[in-house]
Amino acid sequence: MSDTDIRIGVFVCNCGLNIAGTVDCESVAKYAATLPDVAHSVDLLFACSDDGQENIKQAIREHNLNRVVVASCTPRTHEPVFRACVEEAGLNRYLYDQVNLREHVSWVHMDDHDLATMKAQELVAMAIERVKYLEPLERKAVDVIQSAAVIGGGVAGISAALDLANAGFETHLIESRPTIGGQMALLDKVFPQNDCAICILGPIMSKVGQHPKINLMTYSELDDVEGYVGNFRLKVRKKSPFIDWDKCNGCGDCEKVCPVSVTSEYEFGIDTRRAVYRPFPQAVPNRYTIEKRGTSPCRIACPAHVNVQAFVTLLKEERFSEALEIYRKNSPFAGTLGRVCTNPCQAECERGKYDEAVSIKNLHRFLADYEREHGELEIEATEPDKKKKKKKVAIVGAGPAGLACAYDLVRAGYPVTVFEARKEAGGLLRWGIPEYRLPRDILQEEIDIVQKLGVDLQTDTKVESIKELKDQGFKAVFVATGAPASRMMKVQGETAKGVHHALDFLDRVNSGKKVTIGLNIAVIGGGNAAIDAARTARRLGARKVTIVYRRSREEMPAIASEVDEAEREGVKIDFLATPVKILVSDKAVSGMKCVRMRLGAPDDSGRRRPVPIPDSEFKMKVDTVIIAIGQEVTPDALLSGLEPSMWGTLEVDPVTLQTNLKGVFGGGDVVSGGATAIEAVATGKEAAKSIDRYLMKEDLVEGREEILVPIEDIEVDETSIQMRYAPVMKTLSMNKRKTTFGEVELGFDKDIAVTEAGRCLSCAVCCECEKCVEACKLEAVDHSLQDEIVELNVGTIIVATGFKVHDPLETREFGYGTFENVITNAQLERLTNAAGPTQGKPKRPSDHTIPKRVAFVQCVGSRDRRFDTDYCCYIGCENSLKQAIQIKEKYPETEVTIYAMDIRTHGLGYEGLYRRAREMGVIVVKGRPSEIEEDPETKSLIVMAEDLYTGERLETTTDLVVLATALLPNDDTAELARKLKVSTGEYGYLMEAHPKLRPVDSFQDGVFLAGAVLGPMDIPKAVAYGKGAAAGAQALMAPGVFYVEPIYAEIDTDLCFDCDLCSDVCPYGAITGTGEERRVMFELCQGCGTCAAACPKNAIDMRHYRKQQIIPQVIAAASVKGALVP
Amino acid sequence: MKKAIAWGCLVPTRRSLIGYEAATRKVLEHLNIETIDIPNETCCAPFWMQSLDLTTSVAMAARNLAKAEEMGLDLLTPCSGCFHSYKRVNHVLEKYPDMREKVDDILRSVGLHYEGKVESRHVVDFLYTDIGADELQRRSTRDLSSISIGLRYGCHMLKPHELLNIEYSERPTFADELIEQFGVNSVQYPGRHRCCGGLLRGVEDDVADRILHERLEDANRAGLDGIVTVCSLCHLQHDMGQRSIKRKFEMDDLNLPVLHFPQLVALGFGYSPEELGLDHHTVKTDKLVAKIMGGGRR
Repeated sequence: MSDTDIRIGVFVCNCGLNIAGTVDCESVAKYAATLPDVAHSVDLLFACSDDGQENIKQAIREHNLNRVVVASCTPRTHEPVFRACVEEAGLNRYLYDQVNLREHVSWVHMDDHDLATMKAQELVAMAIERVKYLEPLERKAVDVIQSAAVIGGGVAGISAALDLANAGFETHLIESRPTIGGQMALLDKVFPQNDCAICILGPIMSKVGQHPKINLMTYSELDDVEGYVGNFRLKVRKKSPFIDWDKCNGCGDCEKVCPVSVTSEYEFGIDTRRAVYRPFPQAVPNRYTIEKRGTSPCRIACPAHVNVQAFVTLLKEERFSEALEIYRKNSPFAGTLGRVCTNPCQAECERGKYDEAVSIKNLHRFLADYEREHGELEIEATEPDKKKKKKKVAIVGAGPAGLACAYDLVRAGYPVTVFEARKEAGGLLRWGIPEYRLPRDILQEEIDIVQKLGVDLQTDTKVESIKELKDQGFKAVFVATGAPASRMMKVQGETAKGVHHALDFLDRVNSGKKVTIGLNIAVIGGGNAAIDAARTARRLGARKVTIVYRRSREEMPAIASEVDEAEREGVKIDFLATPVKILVSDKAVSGMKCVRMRLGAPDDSGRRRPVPIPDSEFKMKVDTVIIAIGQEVTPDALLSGLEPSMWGTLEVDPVTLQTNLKGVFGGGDVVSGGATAIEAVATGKEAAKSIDRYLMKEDLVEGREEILVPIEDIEVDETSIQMRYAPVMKTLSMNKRKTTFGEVELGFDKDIAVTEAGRCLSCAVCCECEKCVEACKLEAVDHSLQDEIVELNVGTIIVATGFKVHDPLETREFGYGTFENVITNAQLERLTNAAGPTQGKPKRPSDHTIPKRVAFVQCVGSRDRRFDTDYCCYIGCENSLKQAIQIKEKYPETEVTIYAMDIRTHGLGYEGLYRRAREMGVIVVKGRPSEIEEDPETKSLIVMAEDLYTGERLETTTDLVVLATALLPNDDTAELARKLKVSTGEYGYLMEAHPKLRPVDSFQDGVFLAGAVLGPMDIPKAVAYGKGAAAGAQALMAPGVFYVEPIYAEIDTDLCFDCDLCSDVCPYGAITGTGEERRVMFELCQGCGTCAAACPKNAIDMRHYRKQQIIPQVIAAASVKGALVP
Repeated sequence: MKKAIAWGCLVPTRRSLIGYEAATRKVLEHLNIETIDIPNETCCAPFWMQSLDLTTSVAMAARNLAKAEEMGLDLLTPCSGCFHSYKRVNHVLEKYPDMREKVDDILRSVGLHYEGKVESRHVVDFLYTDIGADELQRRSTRDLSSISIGLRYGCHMLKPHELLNIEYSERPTFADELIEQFGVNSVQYPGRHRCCGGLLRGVEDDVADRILHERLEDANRAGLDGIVTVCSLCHLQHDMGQRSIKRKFEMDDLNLPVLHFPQLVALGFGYSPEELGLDHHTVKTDKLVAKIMGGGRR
């Protein structure tokens, strides 16, 4: 275009006196008229008025203008108006530029009119230079999907969704909780009319639930958003409620049987709910949800994965038989392992992080003991499964591994025979563990369970080879023959008279054989066998028993409480010493020569390796030595046909436990070489799983692993924890211990056990006891349900995710969390609610009486610069007035005082509320309390404050203090803003595009905002915002197309060298591709220019703000009277 | 570890506060903390002087900090008032560049310069954050579980809450945690966190008396063996002021010994009452001391 073609029109707006009061508009227009290419220049009183616009249109036609500059207000306000105006006159709407004389000149230079006029002239001159180089642009149309997503199902989101759906748009309402209704549904009354919240909200909630155009997605969260205005693609995670909502009818049968209690977020922490719950009776949808965080650490830590949390929780509820049934789903050994287990579960217990781990072992022991006394569970033989009838299984060895395997297989329907070489079953539980730890009747009864289930137990039957079993028709074999031999120490004198090996020694004592020992005994070793041998020796009459251990107490593998008990029984322990020679005289032991040790670097087991100290030998005078340094597999434990490992143990596959022979599996000590009882049980169970798969001709490995998902972030309600240690168990008197093998640990009684179970924090929430599965008549409960990802395609999005209430616990302000009778206004709301924990009676927490005096403290956390929350919560005053009136209505005698910095009752109706409260006798004190103290006896509170009107110091005793707490942005608002690429403001709420004129729009086209996600607001305002956002979304969707501004970045791929900086800096994710393919998605680009500024190769240019359009403007700015100043 | 230490004006000069200095020295020595006194320490110009002339006040406090900076050491102080003043210096210099210039000028006139690198710490904060409760328990040799005390933090160490940076200043618990390591029963009682009236002393004596009377009544009702203070001013009020309150309000049963925080810690470490100046207090500490010494060793 050659210069001669350019004909510019300049229109200087007076904006009444807004501009003309400071700037001499006429002279600006005249000045512009003198500039090259300006064909027409005038000043107008109001350019934006109909007259003004008509004037512009006429001038364009009359003077044949092809460029227009309007010098008026900010383009944010009127640029669209003037662009439309020039378009109507036949010009391209982008051949227009606007100068901001009002905000940039007149309002900021009111004190210097001449300067202001000069600045205005210069700005106009600059625009004239730019406008010469503008190009006509066409807006791009994008198709708009006729569907919307509303995120957040509070009252704002509900209102938006209903309006959209009623207008005919397909609407998806996404809510993270299991029900819609948001905060309003938890309120009792709503001000100023004080009508019932749920009565007015309930009907529209159910309307949402039934609306054919609304797809209600509760218990769902937004995972990811892609796309742009008109075509957003949402990934929504439907969290698994572990209940099939198509079947659930909300009857609540599951809730009645659920044993888990956790702090209820719907009662603001003043009541509990079950793991399976419905937030409140009016919930929409009227469905139940199971809260499951994963598998508790105790269950994961247990080698056999006993469902610890479930039996502990049922015990807490005094449902003892059910609890025991849970234990027995795993193994029959509740009582046996309740006595001898090394309880690895307790090491991982979450409670241990606060005071002490729950005594899990003692609790299942209690269950077994209680059952023995009260005997409620009948054990019946399981009917063999038809398909499995002919698949006989042989188990060799009736120790814990063999019996556990038999137990699982017989319950699965297999015919099982257990062969035991000794005359009684039990393995090392019977022959290795002394009776004072495990009475034999306890063990026998639990072995009997296995038999009662139908297992054929053949004692006194030694199996020599696998072949003989195959010949007898057994289809699978489990070898669990144990490791019953003691390891030799290999020192001089080990064969002398008076030297015993622990397992042999214990076996002989346990089988009633006569064992002769001396009076002065040394036991070598630090494991449980050493402790057992020492304590047994003591009971056999030894005067002095000394355990010699080569490491220190910390490294001792024995159960700590057993070590303590041994010491209490008079056993001495000599740490950091080891024998090098057993001294013999007359073929009998006369003493030991030992050497002192020190601890060196850690070995493979992680324990520090003991190193002898040179020249530290010393002698011990003893007449008996018991060696307890480990156990070994005997060669005959391996049936012929099986292969040993290099250590002499049975070689098996680590996962399937299969031996070198197909269908023959191995477990327990014969494989491990010696481990704990619970580990033996675990391998027995694992083998049972393999045998089942083998006999069912399934793959042994695939899909075998039981998936126990650990809890990602354990969250427990720390405020509900009262520090309390585990109870100490009663023990047998020392006197009796010296001579008898009577049981030392006497168990918990019912009260102690129930209280102890009460310390469980239910950290996994749902304990998977599956009582709900049994209770549900509709078979709706399914613990295997998984989260589901749903993809939605929508044209617009409305965000209405609301707020959270400030928790004063973080600041301990006004004694909240310390004083029982200081509560928050949200908690009071639940107390006055008929559906709340006190059925609507505002009872104070300490003694459940109705308070005679109540004090409200306003602005707790609000208007507080210390915490960067220096804004008003908008609803606190009205809410306290409402609550005060409610108390006064029900209990006119109750004195109610409100302590406030200011009372703010804006707009219609609220002032009436304020008046009504005062007329009813509510006292309002202007002044914030400085301090609140508790009377330790009455638990009443002394509120100290200053009345700012009288200057008087007040000190008033009150029964209940209610804190009106701040409203804060939700924790996930920032994350949501990032996903949706919308901005957050100073305090973390989402930010609107313009605080006055675009209050429900975001800076992202197609994304609208509603409700308290924008900042604190009351219900009518939230509803209005919801409806406003819905109207905005409808206006955008209805035409079917959306015109995108043609102002976007362009990439010259010839210059680009693929550094990717542009896509890194783009806040809208609008740049895709590499090399030749790199481009800007105009639908997403907002024309901010960040990429253009960042590009090191100047390969990016902004349409409508090109270099050749901006540089002339800069030159004009730097010129004086048309010439550049050097 | 090596630290500069500023004692302030009250601690080394008042009779009943001598034990504060003695005990602080013992505690730090016991923990192998080497301390160097600020040479020729000047007045820290506390907040009531700051309200008269902020620039000069900040410069005065900055002088002591400049000395610590010369030695390349961070600063400890047992006095809550000093702590407050020193904390304010860095705050003011960071926030207000023009103040930095003025303070620089004043310091230059005495040949000093303060860059702002010294971190000032209250001894109690230092014990809690840098040494830790576990370490105190490890080093504890005397069992103090026979005594119940009322611990008073005072306000200057705690407010405004950004100063201390340990925890929020409402109803703090960190110093309780420290003395509980020796078995001390630190009692929560009404009035424990309220004003002692110390800053009104000499200005509005009558009001100061009334406030102190309330505090002493609170403490007396709680059945304490004694009071433990962190702040020198709290100590002066409760200890020296107790006699006159007793007379003025006829509180015949009033007899509450008032210990300094480090004195209790040092007792837990096994130091003798004499070494800690416990015989210099206005209210006799004999009964409390007897109870402690009867408690035995750990």
